[in-house]
Amino acid sequence: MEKPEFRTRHTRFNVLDKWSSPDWDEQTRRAVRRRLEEVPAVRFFNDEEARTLSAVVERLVPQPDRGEEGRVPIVPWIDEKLYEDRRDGYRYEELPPQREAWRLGLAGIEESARALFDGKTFSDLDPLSQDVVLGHIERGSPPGETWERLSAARFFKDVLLITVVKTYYAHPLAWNEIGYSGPSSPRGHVRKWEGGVDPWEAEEK
Amino acid sequence: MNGTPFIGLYPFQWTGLLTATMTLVLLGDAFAGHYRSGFVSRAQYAPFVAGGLLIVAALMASVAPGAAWASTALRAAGWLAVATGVVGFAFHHYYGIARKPGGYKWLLHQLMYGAPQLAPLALALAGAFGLATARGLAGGTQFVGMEMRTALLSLVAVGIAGAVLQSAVLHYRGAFNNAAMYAPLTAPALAVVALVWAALAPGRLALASVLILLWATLLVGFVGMGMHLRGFGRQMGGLYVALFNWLEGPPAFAPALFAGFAAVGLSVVYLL
Repeated sequence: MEKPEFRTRHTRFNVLDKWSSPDWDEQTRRAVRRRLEEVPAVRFFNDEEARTLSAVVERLVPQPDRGEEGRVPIVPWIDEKLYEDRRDGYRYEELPPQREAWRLGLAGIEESARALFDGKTFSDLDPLSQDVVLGHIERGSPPGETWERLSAARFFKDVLLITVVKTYYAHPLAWNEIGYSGPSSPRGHVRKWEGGVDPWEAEEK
Repeated sequence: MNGTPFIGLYPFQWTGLLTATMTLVLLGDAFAGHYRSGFVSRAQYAPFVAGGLLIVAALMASVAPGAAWASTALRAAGWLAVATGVVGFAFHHYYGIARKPGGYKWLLHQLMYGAPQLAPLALALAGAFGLATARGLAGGTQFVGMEMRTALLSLVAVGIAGAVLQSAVLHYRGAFNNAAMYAPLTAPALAVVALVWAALAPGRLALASVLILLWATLLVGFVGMGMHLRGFGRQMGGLYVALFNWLEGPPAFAPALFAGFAAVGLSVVYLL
């Protein structure tokens, strides 16, 4: 497999330099400090579920340019959301409440992996095989009876993928990649037109 | 030298100093607007070159009223400012209305949210005050074919009228959310009327009206600038995000132009 490569267009941007600038206030600093320093322990998922989700996350938002220590943590934050059962405020009618959906979904991924690849667990598969499993689920046609109780395509797109991506882009390291300065409060934007970049925003190289 | 001195300075020294001050004030707001738009056009630097030269020349001419070189410099800078202002007016019109999506069909939108249409003409007017100052300091009694006093008061009337129009558009955009935003439509607008009256039918009552209303306009200008500046602190984030609030908020110094025009008018009425 070709070595994965990631290049940001904001090479010299570090959003943490905004820490004591007028772009951020105490509320922003508190939220970001927590994301950096107070990553919660996994309390909702069991070990097997956490292992499966970690492997899935690694396929959805790969971080090949970061070592094990330097990665944006995603599983712990999803786990916290489920442990505290903080819901989104809406639910698709073909899906059960979120805790149940996640348990079923992760079990379904394992079941599909075993059915497709001779009983191997998802996290033991090579990346390409993992993508095959996830591809089946995304298209809504995965093997396994779990998926008779859970809409695979709906779960993949509107629960799994969106939550993983949202969690990734809540982290300052992800903000650096896209040149995002954090919440536009208290300092907002003045160059509010197509292509307008404010003096205090990251420059695209 | 013409006129009566006041605090040791003759009227045209005063107009010179006021010209320099008003130019500084309008450049302050021009910088906020042009910096906000990111100096997308190199022409956006022009007012700072022309205005900067005008400030220096007007100050020099006031300090050295007898010097021929200072007078020449002020005349050159005055013409440059007039030309820059007129070209700027055309640019603001072309890029701020004609070329904008919606164009003239969305005229009110462009007037409210595009480049301030009359702002460049303030620089042209400052240039004209500079030219009048040069003429007056050299002992001239006529300007653009009129008696110096009439010419200057006409320029003052034009200036206040323009400032009233521009502020009316922008205060309308702000939905007159503070009752004080009607202020430019009161004394300054009446001052224009009084100046026209005094020009067409000179008399004691007309002159008294001009004086009272110019003093009131002076007051409106200073109070207005104070309120604009205070607003930056009251907006969300306050002075912690001063740069943002300065760029996004009302023109910080613009109201002082009312005071500047009024001060020129008063110096003419009292001293010349």
